[in-house]
Amino acid sequence: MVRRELTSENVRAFVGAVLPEESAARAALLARCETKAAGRQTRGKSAGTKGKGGESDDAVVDLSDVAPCALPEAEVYAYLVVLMHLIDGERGEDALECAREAVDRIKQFNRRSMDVLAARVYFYYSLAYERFGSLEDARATLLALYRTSALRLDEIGQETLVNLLLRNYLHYNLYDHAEKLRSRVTLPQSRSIQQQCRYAYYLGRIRAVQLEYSEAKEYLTQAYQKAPTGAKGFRLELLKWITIVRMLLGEIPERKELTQPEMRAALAPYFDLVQAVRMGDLTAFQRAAETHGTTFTEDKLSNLINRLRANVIRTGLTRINTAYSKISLADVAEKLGLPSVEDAESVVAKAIRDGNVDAVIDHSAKVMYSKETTDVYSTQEPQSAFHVRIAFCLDTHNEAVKAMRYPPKEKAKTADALASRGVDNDASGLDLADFDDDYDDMDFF
Amino acid sequence: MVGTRRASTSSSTSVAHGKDLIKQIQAAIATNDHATALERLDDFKVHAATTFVGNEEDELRLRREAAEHGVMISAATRDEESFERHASQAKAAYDACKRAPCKQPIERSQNEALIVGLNLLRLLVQNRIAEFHAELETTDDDVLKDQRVQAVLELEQFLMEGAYNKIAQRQNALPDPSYEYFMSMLMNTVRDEIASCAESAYGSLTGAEAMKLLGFANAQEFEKYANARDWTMDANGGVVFNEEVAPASARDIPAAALINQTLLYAKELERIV
Repeated sequence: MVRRELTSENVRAFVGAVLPEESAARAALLARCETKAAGRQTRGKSAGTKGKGGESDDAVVDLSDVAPCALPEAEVYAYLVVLMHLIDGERGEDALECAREAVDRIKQFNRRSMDVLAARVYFYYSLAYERFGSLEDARATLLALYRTSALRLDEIGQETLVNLLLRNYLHYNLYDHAEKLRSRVTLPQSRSIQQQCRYAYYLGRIRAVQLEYSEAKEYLTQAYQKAPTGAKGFRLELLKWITIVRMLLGEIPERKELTQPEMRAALAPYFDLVQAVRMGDLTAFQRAAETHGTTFTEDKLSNLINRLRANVIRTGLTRINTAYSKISLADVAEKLGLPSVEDAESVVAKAIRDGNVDAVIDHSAKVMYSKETTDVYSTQEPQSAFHVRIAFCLDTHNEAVKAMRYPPKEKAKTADALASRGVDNDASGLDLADFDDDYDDMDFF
Repeated sequence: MVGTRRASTSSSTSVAHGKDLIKQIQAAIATNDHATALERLDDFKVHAATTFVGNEEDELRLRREAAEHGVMISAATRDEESFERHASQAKAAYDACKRAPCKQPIERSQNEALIVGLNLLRLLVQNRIAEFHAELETTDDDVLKDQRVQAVLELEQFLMEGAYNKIAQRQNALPDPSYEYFMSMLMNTVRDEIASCAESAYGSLTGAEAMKLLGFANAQEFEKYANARDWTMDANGGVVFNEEVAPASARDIPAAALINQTLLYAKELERIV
């Protein structure tokens, strides 16, 4: 990655070469690189000794013959590079100011060819606030930017900004706000995988808090599948959420999912939880929840984990029910770690009503009888299971067929005209999205 | 210069007037005169909207206090709609206090936990569980730890687990008298839950047992309830729930559904081939 090797000299040379002398941004950006030169020099040098420094020196030489370019896109791109550099160098104040300047500058233009660059700048704008300031302060600007982008049919901008806003709200646990925004926003036909993936993650979290676990699981898994393998932090985060949501649904995640080598240490607290839920052991569950309490609070999952308590009891009860054909409620209370026989009785009654266990209670004798397990193959069960699977296969097939259709031809042709494109063009997002992917690696440098 | 001085004096008189209004509200609440209290509250809101500058400490405190009174009045008059409105006003007021641009952060209101607890209980009673949990996520930790909020959280947990008997016990140990109204509503829900659990969990119950389980004090009420739920009573006043189920017969095969499914498979298969 070129980005890690960048030194402030490179950036300064780049800005100096690309922007014309009379541009106001040039002076401002150069000044910004200047001030930080002292602090960053050492790191730049050490990178140089690793052998790859030669490359960046070459880059400086190369840039000297680049003709300055007065296009606003070039200017915004320069802003983006400097901003990224400032954030990487953890120069908070400068990054915040630079981000504000960049956004102010972008607001002066209305050019579709700038949308992708602008979306990137918005992203780093929000990142700068998250790392060095307070995200709340960025909210008003982001909302205003979203309105503008919606009016201008700037699709990539809309997508990015919606995600940034959702992130902003969820950062403060404002699930209500996030859901309201989400339900009122009409998303453009999404084109960028990264943004889709983020969106699915936020939506999954909202749904999980709203107790819509199956929907939550669907979105979170979708995000997990779409996430690039390199994004380890993101995948780890997703895995934590998926684990909890699945357990809330009554599923037990498999051991190997939680013991992937690179994530094992981070997932250890969750592994303990899963063990406790699998055994239906209330005391073990409480112990796990207490010992790892701080981790869970940091991950914003502690409230969801509290909800798991009922699931633990359910699992324990199911185990007891399969093991004993007749058991006194006092024993049930003891095994589940419930304080009294009355508690056990009403808990068992609810489990029976909800269909978790098949049993009958004798109230006067305080005993629970399991019903004889009937032969499943004499019921409708296998048939409906078969139907569910077949329906899934047919669905997958139809989806696959649908996905194989190509976009209409005339839209593809406009790809060549990327640079000279006018105000609104529906196809622009398509090729710009590819452009966006490359951009992540800065190949375009 | 003159302008700013005038603004500050006028804001201090408006704060004084606001305090007066709050006192009147308190007096009205003390004498249980909720109608007057509501009127004064409306006066205060108009006053605050027209003369308050916005974010001075005293003003924020007054607004917060007014919103709290609003919540308590609605809880006392059992007006759920206005309760909801006032609760969200109170929440906004707490938020405004928290981020007020003062040197010293404004101290937390004594009543914040009470208001939050009440609001959570309301959501629980109205079975708006999703909102209940969303609300929980935005509540600060030290408020959550308060006994008055914890009590509601426990109630929710009991409901989820099915420990209904514990909810009944809690009814006699409420952290605050204002919880009474919502709690009594919760008890009705709980009774229905217990009844539906009993229907599927027990073979039969004697009358006395059933009454105790459902928390009825006299037999007439119980009978009325049993009739409303269509329970079969035996000769001794007991209730019989689970009739023997007839063994499965050929009639139970869902022929129409099966035919539909099979036709669907055929159609889809044809499309693939």
